[in-house]
Amino acid sequence: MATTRTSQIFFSDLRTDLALNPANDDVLLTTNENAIEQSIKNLLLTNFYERPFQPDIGSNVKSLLFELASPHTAYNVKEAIKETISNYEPRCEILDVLVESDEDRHSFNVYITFMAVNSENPRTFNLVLDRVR
Amino acid sequence: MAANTATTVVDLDFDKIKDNLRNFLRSQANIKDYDFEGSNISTILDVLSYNTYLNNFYANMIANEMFLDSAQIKDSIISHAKELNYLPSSCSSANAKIKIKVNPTDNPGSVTLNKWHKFSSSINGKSKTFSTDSDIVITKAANTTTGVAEWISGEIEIYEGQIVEEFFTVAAANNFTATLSNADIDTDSLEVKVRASNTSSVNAVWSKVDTLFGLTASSNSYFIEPTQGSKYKITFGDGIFGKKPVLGNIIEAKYRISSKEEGNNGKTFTNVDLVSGYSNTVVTTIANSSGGTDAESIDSIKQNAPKSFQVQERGNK
Repeated sequence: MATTRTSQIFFSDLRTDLALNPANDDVLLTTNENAIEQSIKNLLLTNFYERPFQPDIGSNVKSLLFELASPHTAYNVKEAIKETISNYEPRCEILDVLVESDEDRHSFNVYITFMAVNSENPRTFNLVLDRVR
Repeated sequence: MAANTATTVVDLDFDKIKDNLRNFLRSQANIKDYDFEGSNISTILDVLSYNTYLNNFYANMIANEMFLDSAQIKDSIISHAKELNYLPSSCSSANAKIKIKVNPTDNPGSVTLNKWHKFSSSINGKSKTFSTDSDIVITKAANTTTGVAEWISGEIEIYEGQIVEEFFTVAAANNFTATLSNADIDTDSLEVKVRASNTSSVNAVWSKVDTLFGLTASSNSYFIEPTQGSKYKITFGDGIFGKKPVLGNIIEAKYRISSKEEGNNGKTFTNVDLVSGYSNTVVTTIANSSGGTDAESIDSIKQNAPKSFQVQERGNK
C-alpha cells in the first residue's frame, strides 16, 4: 500500500500500541528517530532471559531498581543503559545519558540523548524507570 | 507484500525459523526494522518463531513416536511391541542354589517348604529376601554312614525379591484389567488367584496364557501385557476364549519385586520361616545368587519385537 511521505524513511517499525489508521484501518508505523527511540525503550524494559532462545537481549536495569537509591546505583543504571544500546542498537550514537534518582517516587528519571546514524540532529527523550512492586 | 512462497518452513531451529521470517520481510518495503532486536517487529518475529518451533517439535515427536524404529519414549515402544504380540521381559530376580537340612524335634516322615518360603541374605550391607517358587517336600532318609534319620533337601533354587500381594475387586462387568503397581515385578513369579467374592475364602489359581489357542469358556486363564510406566497389567478372557471374571470377584496377585543386579552375589542364606513348624535348620549354599537383571531395554525391544513376530514361536524355519 503506497503512502506519500515528505521525508525519506530509513527505519520503520510497528507501533507498540498497534494503533490503526482511522482512514484505512492499516496498522500505523513509527519511523526513523521515533522507531529508534521505541526500540531503545523496548531494550531497556526487557530483562535478560525474557525472550525465548535469546537470553542476552535486554538489560539489567530493572534489577538495579531494587538497589539502594544512591549515586553508585545511578551510575550502574547509566552504564547498563549505555552498554545495552551499544550492544543492540547500532542505528544510533549515544551522546549523553543522564540518570536522576527520584527517591520520593522510588524511581529513576533517565534522559537519553542520541543521534541516528543517518541524521545530524540529536534527539533527547525521557524514560521513567520505576518498580511495579 | 511478498508472496507466501518466499517463506521456508523446513527448518526446525528457532534461529533458522526467525531468519526465514526475516528473509521473507526483506522482500517488502513497509516495515524495515526486522533486523534490530529492540524493534516491535522483531518481538513479533520471536513469537512467531517460537510458536513455529513448538509446532515443529510436536509434529516431529508425534511422527517419530508413531513408528517402532524412530520412537524414543518407552511407553510408545511398548505399545508398538504389543501390536506385534511381544511381551518385553520384566526385571529378573537373582537366583541362588542351596540345600537345607531340617532338624525336627520329633520324627516326621517328611517336611515341606511351601512356595514363597523365605530366606534372607545380606548383600553389600543390604538385607535381601529370597524365596522358593514351588512347594518342596523333604522326606526322611537314613544317613548312609551313621544310619541316623535326617531331613536334607536336594538342590533348591531360591529367588531374590520382596514378596507383594495385591487385591483387585472386579467392578466392571466387561474387560476388567488389573494394573500391577510395581514396575520392578519379576513376571515369572506372578501367581493369580480368583475368589468368588469378598466373603468367600475359596480361591482358584488361574494360569498365564499367551495365546487364544485351546482356550474355552471355562479356562481359568489370564493374559499379561505391558502398559504405561513400564508396568504390567493382567487381563482376562471374554467368556468365550477364557473364563471371564464376574462382578464382585476378588483377584489376588502375588509376585516378587526384584532388586535386579543388587540381588546378585549373595553368598550365605538364613532360613526365615518355619519348615512345617520346625525352626532348627541349616542352610548350605551350593551356588551364589546371580542372574538378577533390569527389565528389557528400549533398544532390545526394538530389536526383538519384529523378530519375535517374524518367527511366530515356530521352532523351524
